[in-house]
Amino acid sequence: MGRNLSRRDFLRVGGGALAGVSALGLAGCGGGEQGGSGDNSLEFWAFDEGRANFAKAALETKEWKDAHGDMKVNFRIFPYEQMHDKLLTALVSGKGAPDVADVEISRFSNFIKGDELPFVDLSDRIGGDIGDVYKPAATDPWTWQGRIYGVGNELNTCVLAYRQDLMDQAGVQTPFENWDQVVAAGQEVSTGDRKMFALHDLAFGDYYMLSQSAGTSLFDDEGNYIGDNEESVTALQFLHDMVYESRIAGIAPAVASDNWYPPQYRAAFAAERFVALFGPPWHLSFLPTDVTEQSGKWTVQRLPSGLGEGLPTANFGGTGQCITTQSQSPDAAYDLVRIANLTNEGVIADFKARTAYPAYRPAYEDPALQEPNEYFGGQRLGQIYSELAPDLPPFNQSPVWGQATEALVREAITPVMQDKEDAQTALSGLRQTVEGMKQ
Amino acid sequence: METRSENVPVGSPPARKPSRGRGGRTIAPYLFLLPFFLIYAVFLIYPVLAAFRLSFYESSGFGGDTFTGLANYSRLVQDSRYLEALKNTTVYALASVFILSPLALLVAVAIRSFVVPTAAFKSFYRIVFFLPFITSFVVIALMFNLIFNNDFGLLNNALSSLGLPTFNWLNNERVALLAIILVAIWTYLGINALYFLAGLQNIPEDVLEAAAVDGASRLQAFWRVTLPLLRPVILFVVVQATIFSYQIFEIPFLLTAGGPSDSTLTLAIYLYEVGFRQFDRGYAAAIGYSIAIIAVVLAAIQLLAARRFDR
Repeated sequence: MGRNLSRRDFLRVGGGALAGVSALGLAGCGGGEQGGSGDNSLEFWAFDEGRANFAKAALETKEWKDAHGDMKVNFRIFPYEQMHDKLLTALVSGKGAPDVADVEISRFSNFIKGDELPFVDLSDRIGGDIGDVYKPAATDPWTWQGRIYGVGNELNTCVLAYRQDLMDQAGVQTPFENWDQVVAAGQEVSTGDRKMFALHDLAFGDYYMLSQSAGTSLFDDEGNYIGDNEESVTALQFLHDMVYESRIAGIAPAVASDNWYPPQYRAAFAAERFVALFGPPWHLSFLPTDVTEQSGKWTVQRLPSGLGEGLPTANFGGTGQCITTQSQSPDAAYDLVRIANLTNEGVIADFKARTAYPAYRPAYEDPALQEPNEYFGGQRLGQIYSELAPDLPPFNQSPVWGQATEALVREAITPVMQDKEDAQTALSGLRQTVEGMKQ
Repeated sequence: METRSENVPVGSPPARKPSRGRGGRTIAPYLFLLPFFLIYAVFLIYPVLAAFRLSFYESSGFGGDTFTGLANYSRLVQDSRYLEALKNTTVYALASVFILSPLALLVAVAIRSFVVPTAAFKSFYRIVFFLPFITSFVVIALMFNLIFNNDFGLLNNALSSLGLPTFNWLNNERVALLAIILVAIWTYLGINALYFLAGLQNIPEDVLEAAAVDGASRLQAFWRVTLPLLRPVILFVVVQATIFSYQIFEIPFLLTAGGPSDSTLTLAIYLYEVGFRQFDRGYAAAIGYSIAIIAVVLAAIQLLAARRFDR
C-alpha cells in the first residue's frame, strides 16, 4: 500500500505543489479588481472609533433604513498608520480594499500618484449638494484635478483661544485686533514658568495656519510650490520670534507618536504653563475634556490681523470618506457617505457624539449648534465658526502634499523653531527638495 | 529489517509497513516538512524574489511598472536622505559592536566571576538581564519617553541634581541618536550577556586553573585564556549585532520617528517612508536590497577576518 518516494520524487511532488500554491497566490495578487464586501454588504475602514461611530450613526437614520435596511455594514478599525498602509496595499494589489475608507487629509496625496485614481469620482453624485458645504473643509482636500474623491465632515476653521481670566487680571484689552497686541499681551502674562503659546518644532501646523492667515499656502492652485514666498517667510519668522525674541512662547511638548497634542502637551495647559493657542475646533477639543478645571475661563476669537493679508481664519486638518473603485456597491456606499456628511441628521448626530462642527452649512440652523458653550465663557462657537467659514482659504492638493509637509518639518520647521536657521534660508532651501519630489 | 514483520504474533492484524523510498527513506517526514516549505516559499521566497524584480522597476503610485534597470540603485548614492540614514545606521551598528558587545562581555564576566558570589544571585541576574529583551518595544518606548522627557524625565532630573547639563533628548539633533543607542544598549545588553555567559561556561575550569598555577593574574588569564577561547562567541555576537543593527526600526520609529530633522533616520525607517509615505515601491525595494547587501558584506568581512586571525 505504501508508495515509495525517493528524494527526487519528493522534490518533484513538492515543486509541483509549490508551483500550484504560488500560481494560486499570483492569481490572487494579479486577479481582476475585486473588493468590498459583496452585493448586500459594505465594508468600512476607519482609524478612529469616533469617526467609525459617526458613520454608524448614518445607519440608524430612516433614510438609510428605507433604502438599504437589509444591507450589512462591516466596520473595521485599525491604527492610523496601519489603516492607510493596508488601504494602499489593497488598492495597489487590486484586491481586498473596503467599499468606504476614512482617508486623512495628509495621506490622501499618496492615492493621487499615477494616472489611475483608486477612488470613485463623486463629483456628479454630489451634484447640487456642493452648494451646501464649506468646500475648503468638506471637499477640497479630497479633490484632484477638479474632481471630488471624498467628503469630509469637520469644519476646521482655525481661531485664537486664550485664558480670558488671565488677560483680565493683567489688564489686557481683548479681543485682539492684531498680532502686535497678542505679543504685548503675551509679555504681560508670560513669566519664568508660564508662556502664552506652546509652539511646535516637530509639526508644521502652527506655520501652516499662520501662513494661510497671511494669505498663502504650500501649493498654488496649479500645484506649484509657493511655500517660500514673502508671506510664508513672515509667518515662520514670526513663530520663531515669539519663542526667541519676544519670548512669549515655549516649545510644545511632543512625542514621536503624537507630535501635536500628546498627554504631556495637555498636562502643560492644565498646569497653566501655556495659556493660549490657535487651532481648529478639533485641536481646542482637548481643553474641555483634559483641562476641565479651567472651564469658563477660555475665550475664542478670529485670528488677529497683522501678518500678510491677515485673513480671519485658516484651514487645518480633516478626514474624508472615500469610496474605492473596488467597491461592488458604490451607490449604497455613496448613500452612506451622503447621509453621514450631507444631511442634518447625520452631522448633528456626530456633533452630539464628538462635538465635531460640521462642514455642512444647513446644520448651523439647528439649535444644537447654536447653544452657548459653557467652557468657553458662554460663547456660541457654532455661530463663530460658521461666520468664519466663508473666509476659509481654499486647499490646494498635490500628489506630494504629504511628502512636502514632512520635508517642511524636517528642513524648515525644526531648524527654525530650534533657532538653528532663519526662516528665509530654510524655506528657500526646501524649494529644491519639494520640486525634486516625484509627482 | 524484514525480520521484524515475521515476529508478529499469529492473529494480530498485520503491522502497517512504513512507506519507503528507493533510497530507503520514508515519505512521512517529507509530508510533515511540506507545509513549512510551502508556507516558506509562498510567504518568504516569493516576496523576496518579487521585491528583487521590483527593485529594477519604476513602480510608484497607481498605474503600471516601468523597467528602469539599475536606476533605483544608482539613485541611492545620490539620495542625501539615504546617505544620512546609512550614516546613522552605521553609527548605531558601530555602537552595537564597540560599546554594546564589550559591555555585554563585561556583564557576563561579572556574573560569572566573584562579583556575583552565589548561584542564586547568578540566576537572578540572568533573568533580570534577559527581561528587557522580551519586553515589548511599545512598552520600552513608553518607558523611555518618560525617562527622556525634557521637563520631568528621570534622566534630566538625575543630570541636573549632579550639576550636569540637561538635554531635550529625543528632540535635539545632537543627542537624539545617542538616546536611541542608550535604549538599544538597555534592551540588548542582557541577551548578548547571555551569549557570552554560555561561552564562558564552556571554558574548561582546568585551563584557568593551569593558568593560575603558572602564576597568571586574573587579568592575564582573562586576556590570554578566556578571550581567545571565547572567540567563536565573540564572532557570533559581533556578526549578529551587525546584521540586526542594519535592520533597526522599532526603537527609533517609536521614540523619534527618525527625527528631529533625520538625525535618527535609519535605513529601515527610510525604507518604510519611501514605500508607504512616498509610495515609491521600486525605490523602496532597492533600499531593502541595499540593506541586505550591506549586512551580508559586513558579516562576510567579519567572518573572513576571524578566519584569517585564527590562522
